[in-house]
Amino acid sequence: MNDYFDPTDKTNKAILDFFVGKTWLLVNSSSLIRHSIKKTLSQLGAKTTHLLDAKNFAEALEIIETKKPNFVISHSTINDDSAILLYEAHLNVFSNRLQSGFFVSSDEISQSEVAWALDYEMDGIIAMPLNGTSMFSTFVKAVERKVNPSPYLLKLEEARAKYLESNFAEAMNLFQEASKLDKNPFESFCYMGIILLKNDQVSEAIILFEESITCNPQYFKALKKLSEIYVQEKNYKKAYDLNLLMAQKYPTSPERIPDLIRLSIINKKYEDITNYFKLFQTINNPNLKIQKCLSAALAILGKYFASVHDTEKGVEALLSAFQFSNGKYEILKSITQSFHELKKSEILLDLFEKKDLSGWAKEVQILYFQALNDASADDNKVIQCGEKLLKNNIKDISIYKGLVERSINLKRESRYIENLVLEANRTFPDTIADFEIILKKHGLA
Amino acid sequence: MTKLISECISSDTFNSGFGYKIVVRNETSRTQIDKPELIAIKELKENGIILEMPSNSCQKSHNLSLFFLNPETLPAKIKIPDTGRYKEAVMEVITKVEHIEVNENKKNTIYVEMTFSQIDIKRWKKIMELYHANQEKIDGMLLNQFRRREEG
Repeated sequence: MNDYFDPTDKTNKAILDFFVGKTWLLVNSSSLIRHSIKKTLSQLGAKTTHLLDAKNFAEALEIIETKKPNFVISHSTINDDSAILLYEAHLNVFSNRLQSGFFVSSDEISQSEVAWALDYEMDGIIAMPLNGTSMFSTFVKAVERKVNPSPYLLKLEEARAKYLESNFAEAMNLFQEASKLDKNPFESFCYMGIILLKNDQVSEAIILFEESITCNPQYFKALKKLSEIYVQEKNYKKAYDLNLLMAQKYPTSPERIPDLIRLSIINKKYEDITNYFKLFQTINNPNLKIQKCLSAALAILGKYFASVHDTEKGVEALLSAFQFSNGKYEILKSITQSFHELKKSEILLDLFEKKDLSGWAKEVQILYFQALNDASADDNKVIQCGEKLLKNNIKDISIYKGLVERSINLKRESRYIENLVLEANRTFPDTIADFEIILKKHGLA
Repeated sequence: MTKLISECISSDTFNSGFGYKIVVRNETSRTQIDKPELIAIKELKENGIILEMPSNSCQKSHNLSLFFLNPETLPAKIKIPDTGRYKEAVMEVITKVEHIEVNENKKNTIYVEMTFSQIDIKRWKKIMELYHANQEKIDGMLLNQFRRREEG
């Protein structure tokens, strides 16, 4: 017996009947955990012979293909693989979701995990640690809408099944039929919009997404789709307003923060910038995934502060961005550019020199060279560094340019300089004119 | 109603999860695991708990003291006393190891199922309720988007 759900209560009979007829696949590396979930499902009426289990995704995929379980409850990641691959396989087997479903369990239910489940329209997300009462309520709530489906829901799922089978023409007809069966057919409008997008009918799709949101301003899929299209169509004002609506109703995934900052900058919402900057300074001990998001976000803030010549805040943001970057090249590239704009490359050079760069991507060495070339008056040191990179086959136009300019400063043999230019032109043919300018500047052209 | 997206973003956005951290004193082997990041709570039961722990943390029948710590007030350096209470802990339970399972998917870790031999039931129920409320919140976020129809 469970406080939440009484199997002997007659009003729960339909739910019990639903569970009795279904097969379940439990995917977790621990047999102890699988056993606990099985126990809960049995109490809900599932037959023990209908409970299958797998300890990894390979086993699970095989069971999905061969035994076609109605429901899957999988841990979100096993051995760094994502449960999405199981979900997609399960959608292929059961395109009609009224008789099936997919739940994920996860150790760290962060905002991004919830946003992920919302985006994929999963049936439920089970936060670890498990406990019997919570599992009961999550499973029952998730299947309640499948137990006695309305005519609209029946038609909607029929249409969605065709959509998942990529039969878009038939799906469109069925979604249209479904939309007549309910006064708020927000899912139908949204899916019709998605199908129109596949045919590049963007403005018609926008109308349908907007109708979907008018019917239900909480429907995540339509909100997300419309927000993406507004950005694509450069309708940044509407994109901002829609993202504000989403942020008010749903947790914002940290991965989205860099895009949201860009949106604030475009929309001149400068108070946002100040708020983000203050917030980021309060975050302690972020995990690796969060560090990546923070680093990207801080790099954008740094770039913005550089563009408005706010050196103090720019340097502060860029220092934190560097600290969280963990050697990610794209982020470091932006940081390097911003330090250059702020004329503070010596700070970046100092950061690089205090780090062991050997474990970072080899392209990061190019950024180090750029900072060195920007900040150091020591021509020999710059040349030594550049030559070493070229010798190790790490090539970039900035290295050749730096080497040529520093060699000119040191009055090196003209043959050496000519060879560098020739090699640069061979490797980067589009840059011949750039070298002509450098050589001309020094009277060597 | 807020007017700016940034007003809807808080430090919670960057928190990796909800819940207590645990450190362990093995009363039988006289060893400790004082790094909470090495221990994950996998299941809460009425009369026991399942933890993921480093291999060799314990053996079947060992008695363990589990100290529950609030993640927001984690001490910079955790120092569990050799005996008696750990004053930083918000709750303490004594357990007996019932079952150990090797985690085949994560090197050097085991799942340990244990039952409580000493526990403040009222406080344990409160902890279970906290986790349940968190799950309800997650369920709500996923299912609220369909509520419009039920209200309509």
